[in-house]
Amino acid sequence: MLAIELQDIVFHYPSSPPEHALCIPHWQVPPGQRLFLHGRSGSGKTTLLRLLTGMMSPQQGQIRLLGENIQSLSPPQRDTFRAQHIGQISQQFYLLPYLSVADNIRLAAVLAKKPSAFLDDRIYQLLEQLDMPPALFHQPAGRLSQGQQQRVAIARALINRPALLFADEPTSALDEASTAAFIRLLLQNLATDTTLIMISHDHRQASWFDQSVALQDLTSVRKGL
Amino acid sequence: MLWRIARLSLWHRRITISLIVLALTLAFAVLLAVEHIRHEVRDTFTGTVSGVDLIVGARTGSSNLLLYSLFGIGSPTRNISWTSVETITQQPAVDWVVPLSMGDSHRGFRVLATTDAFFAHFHYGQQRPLLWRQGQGFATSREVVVGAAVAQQLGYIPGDSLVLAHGQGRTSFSLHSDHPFKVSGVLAPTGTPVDQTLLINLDAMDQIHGHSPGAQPQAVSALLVGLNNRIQTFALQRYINEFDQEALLAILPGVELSLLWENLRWIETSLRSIAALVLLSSMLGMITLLLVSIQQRQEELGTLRSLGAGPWSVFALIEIEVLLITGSALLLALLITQLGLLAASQWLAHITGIQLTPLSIDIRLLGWLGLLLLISLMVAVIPAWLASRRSLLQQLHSERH
Repeated sequence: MLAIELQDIVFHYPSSPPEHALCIPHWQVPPGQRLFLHGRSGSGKTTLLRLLTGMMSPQQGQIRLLGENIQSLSPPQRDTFRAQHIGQISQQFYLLPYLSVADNIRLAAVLAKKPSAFLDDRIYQLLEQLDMPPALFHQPAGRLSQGQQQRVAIARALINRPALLFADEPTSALDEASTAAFIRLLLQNLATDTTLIMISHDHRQASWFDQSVALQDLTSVRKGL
Repeated sequence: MLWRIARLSLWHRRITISLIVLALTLAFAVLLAVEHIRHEVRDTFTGTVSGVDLIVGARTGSSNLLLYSLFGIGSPTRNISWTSVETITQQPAVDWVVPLSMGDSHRGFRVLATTDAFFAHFHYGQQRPLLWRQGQGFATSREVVVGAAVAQQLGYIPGDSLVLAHGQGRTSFSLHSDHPFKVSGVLAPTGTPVDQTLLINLDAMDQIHGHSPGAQPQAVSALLVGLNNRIQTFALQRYINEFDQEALLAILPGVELSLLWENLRWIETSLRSIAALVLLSSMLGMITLLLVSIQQRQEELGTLRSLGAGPWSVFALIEIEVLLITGSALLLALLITQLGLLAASQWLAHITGIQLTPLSIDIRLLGWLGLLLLISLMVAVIPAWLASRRSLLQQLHSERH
């Protein structure tokens, strides 16, 4: 079973003309692959990720994740699928600043309806693996440094042992050393069967990954989304 | 988890949230206080007298008879002759008669001349009898009984002496200095106009107006009448209203009190309208705050959605927040209202004789609390629905690249 399979995808925002559509005739990603997807700013990388997470639906074509046609799912089913099978890390990390570090991670597990038994143990174990000092486990996320917030975002993305992990420009605000540290940390803590798609405009990071793909190689028509 | 998120999110925005809680608290407190005072005043008003089947006076408007006989407001157009009083008393249907005579005052408080029967038959509220705080009833024409508010305001205790004044003004130049009275007893508070009344016997009233001691009274201002059987009320009322020896009027106090209260309904309506307007403005404030905060929280709500929270979870989150805001405001409002009533009850009892009881947790209060909670939740439906529908898309569009 493929991790990701796209077939004849056409998507354009309602406010954009159809000729600026993102068109992907065919794309397959096998499970467990670490894939680096790069492209210039505005090329449609984030749009592709939103299609993959089911937050948006293409006007044409079919998206199958883990063998499931996500367009055939109802919106609530899509929310559940996303919670249970997809981990996400964004540039801004999107932590809830008033929740503690542990609660931010727990939230992802609760929304995915994961069993609560040993959840705390798993959260603390994950945070320790990510070199988070235990004193910070119950600190509000809003009080953490950017580096610490990165670690929490990684832990939250991994807590449900997702089959798919999408990272959207998580290193765009970091210097070279911090970027390397972040990617190393992410790859070290990733389960072997998790498929990772890391998006960036900086193709120098490609060496960390199994495969590097330029978005323009996937698309048939590309006119700046 | 949603409860935890709602609680912590509210605490995170505590400055703006505390302002809306404060506004709602004030609105709820005004509403609860108005509603409580309205009930108290109505109960006090309609319970001014009980156990009295008829009030009889010279023919006039029924409200006028009620007002001057029970509340000491206004004055009788003329008196009832003692012959008529005796005729009415001798009617087989009549169990007891309490004559009332008025016209004098003491430092702004009205003086009511009556008989011992007043203390035995006058009841108020739910058939509550008059009780003594100190002393006893008048035994001679030189003794006076004072109501609770009179005693409290003027500091009278049994044994004190006082002089009555002619007429009902607060300041009188015609004092009955030649006939001083001694306080024989102080009545316990009733929340009725009796609290603001001095009671003397009929003979004393006649004596201070120059009649010989022990002489039969010539006339009285009104009569309180109790019947052997209430079935006979309308028959006796008709008999008195058609009395051929002089023009008299008999009214049913309970009915007249209710009618008078109905006439005063505009005060009730005004109070309730003001309270409703305060509530409306606070609810609008809450909607505005919710809409603004939802606009500012797109990222937060979008994060929840992207983690798998469905639109209904976001909807529930906003409603839980409103529940917590409204619940806090209601608890604070109860506290403020209770403290306010405690403070106001002293003052109100002093000025009006109305005894305000504290709020008690009963079905009516719980009903109001439930209704206010429900209104808040209903009001929040629109912002909550908008938040649940828009949060994810708003976030997506805000960072589209």
